[in-house]
Amino acid sequence: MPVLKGEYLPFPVTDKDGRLLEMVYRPHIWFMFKIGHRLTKPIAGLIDSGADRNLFPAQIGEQLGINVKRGRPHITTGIGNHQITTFRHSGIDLLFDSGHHFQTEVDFSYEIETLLLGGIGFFDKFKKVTFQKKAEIVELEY
Amino acid sequence: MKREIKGIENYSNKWIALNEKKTEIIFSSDTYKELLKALKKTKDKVFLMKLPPFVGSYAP
Repeated sequence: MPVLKGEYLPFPVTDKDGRLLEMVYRPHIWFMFKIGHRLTKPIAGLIDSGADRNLFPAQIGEQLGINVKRGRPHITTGIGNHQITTFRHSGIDLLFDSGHHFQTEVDFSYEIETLLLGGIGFFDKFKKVTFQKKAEIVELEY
Repeated sequence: MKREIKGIENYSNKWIALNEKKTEIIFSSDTYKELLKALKKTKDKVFLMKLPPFVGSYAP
């Protein structure tokens, strides 16, 4: 079975005065956007098993040439019941290291800045997704 | 093996570009658009990330 590999990337956690409390490692995968024959530079997406759908910053959509606000508007609720407006677009082509790619739906929002890869449109594109926290890798079987 | 990115603690809430080995930050910016503009002149392979604010734990 072909497998894509994600990795845990390091992030500092500080107190409000900027003092380092710890380093945490969060599961990501590198991918490119495929627009016709053109590929963007690789970018990291957070593999977020708690997210219902893919959710990307609107500024990425705009750089891809997408008229973000023409997407179907939705509401996404996050931590602390914070709600944001999102605009859903389909046919977004994601290309991974191995050459594996698929078209998917992405909700874009002007109110977030992190790329979240969620259940519908990412996890459901794979047969099995295995998080190996100790080994700091994620295996995505397709 | 845990990945290390040199100097990452200085780039809270920034868009960054990593070198090919993903060990060093070679460009940073406040926006994705500005980062792409800064990278136009480089032919090196780079990897892009958005770093969240570092204050406190993170739960997207």
